Amino acid sequence: MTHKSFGRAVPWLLLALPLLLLLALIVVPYAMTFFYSTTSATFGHLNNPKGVGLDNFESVLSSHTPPFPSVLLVTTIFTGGTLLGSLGLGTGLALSLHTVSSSARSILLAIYLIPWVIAAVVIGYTWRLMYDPQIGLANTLLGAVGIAPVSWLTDRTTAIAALVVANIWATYGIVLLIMSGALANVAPNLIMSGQIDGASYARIVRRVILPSVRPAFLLAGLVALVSGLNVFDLIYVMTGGGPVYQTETLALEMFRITTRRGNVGEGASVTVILFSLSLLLAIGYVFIWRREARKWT
Amino acid sequence: MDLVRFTRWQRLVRATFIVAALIFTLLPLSWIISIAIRPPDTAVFPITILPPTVTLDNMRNVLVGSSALGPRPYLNAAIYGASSAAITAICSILGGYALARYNVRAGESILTVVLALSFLPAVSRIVPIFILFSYSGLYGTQLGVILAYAAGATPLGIWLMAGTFRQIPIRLEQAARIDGAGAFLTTRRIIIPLALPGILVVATLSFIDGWNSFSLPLILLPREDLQPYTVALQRYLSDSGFGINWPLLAAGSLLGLVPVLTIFALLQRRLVRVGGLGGAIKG
Repeated sequence: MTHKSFGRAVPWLLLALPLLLLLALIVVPYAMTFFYSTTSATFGHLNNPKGVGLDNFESVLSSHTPPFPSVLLVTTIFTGGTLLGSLGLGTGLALSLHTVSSSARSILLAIYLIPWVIAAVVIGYTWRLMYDPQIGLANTLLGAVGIAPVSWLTDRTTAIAALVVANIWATYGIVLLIMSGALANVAPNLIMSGQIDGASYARIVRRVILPSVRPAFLLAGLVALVSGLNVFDLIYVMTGGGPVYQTETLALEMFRITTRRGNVGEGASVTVILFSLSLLLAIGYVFIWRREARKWT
Repeated sequence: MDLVRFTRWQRLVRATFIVAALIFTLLPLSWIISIAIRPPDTAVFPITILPPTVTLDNMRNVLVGSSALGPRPYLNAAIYGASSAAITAICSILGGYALARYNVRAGESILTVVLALSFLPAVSRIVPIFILFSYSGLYGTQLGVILAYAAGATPLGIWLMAGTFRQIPIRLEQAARIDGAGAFLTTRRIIIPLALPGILVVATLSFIDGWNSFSLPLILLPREDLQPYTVALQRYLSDSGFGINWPLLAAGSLLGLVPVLTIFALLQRRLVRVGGLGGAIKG
């Protein structure tokens, strides 16, 4: 039910402040970035920049330090690994917790969600410490069973794998949260009648539970995908994109070009690429989110 | 009655999975604690799993002494987080109330677009904000960082507050009006008190977001005395030419962790309920 007796201006007066904040700090900056991506602006020369068409995109795509396909590959492996790992772990855990007693469930859930509230930088330092060649737990445990120490973060393959594991640790909590919420809404009667009809648990999961949480699963997948694509803090403090750009993703490239080289035009063009990829995913996400939100509130 | 009857094997598999995930979750945290609470000269190769002796010296050395960051970076993070929480709460109350109580189709469409943009993680916003602030003179200012945080947290806040207001019966407001209360009194005595739990959640999420933020202050605040602890901790990565100063870095990280874990422990139930809805709050 809504107010009808007040003037039409009232809701707009209420919306003025939040809309101003969001337009000024979200819409305008993105618009400026699109504009600057077609200019040769540098940090310090932002006024009246010279238009250069799509030259920035061309030089980003044809760059050799690092080659753009390499950046794209690292981004894809990192994002894909995070997506698969956190969806698997988060959904598996949500299913496991679904069938334990509710008191045990809330305690376990609280513990599993700890990484969700920790700052990404702190997560980065925590895992960098785990992988430290001298005092890291990874090598200490390997040493205990007689395996030679590994320099985790200085070899490309192990470095990307190490980053993926760290980011799964950071991300699976949100998947677990979304999936637990969805599982709690599955009618217990459906599951019990499946039991009475003699279906195995695996069959009930496949035929009853998973179909009814599919929207939430999609939502969780999109969240993991968008956040994986945009991870910056964690990689920045763990490897900084190194060794020699070997773990540089789009997000890190964008930051490096803008701040280290001060090339605002080129940095803006990488931002446009990252933005477009994320926006495609986020639009789908918002549609599902609004549908779910209507059910819950 | 149990929801599902399991065979013994199924129970075992479930228990193994739950315990393995617990170890995966807690092991890294235990290790950083183990390094942070031992004397620095025992945090070297070859290392013992458990600290030989327990000390709080590292924590103290982060806050006071010659290689300390001092309390300033933590205070900065708290100020930015709290200011952003206040702005977020005000904007979310206004926007949420408008959406819940009035029929504003156009406003809703604009907000949906903004919502789509703001669900993009903060990272895709750092260069745009950097450009805008360099252009407008907000670069390097505390106000700039606070506004950037608040803009990131407000869209979700508006939606959460709209949900909260929809649950408050409109008749309570109408009754107050009939009894002669003006708009201000109705807001202060009826609407705000009833919506307080929702406001608390919105403000808390915004605070945690600001307290944890790294990439925005990294790019926006070049002045050392304005930086939050997340940025300041980098100093220990190459401390006095000896490589990473792990005892202090671990202790400094833990100091940053304590406030969020405390808040989480206190408000866990509420945050978890909303968090499932919020989804992208952490990015």
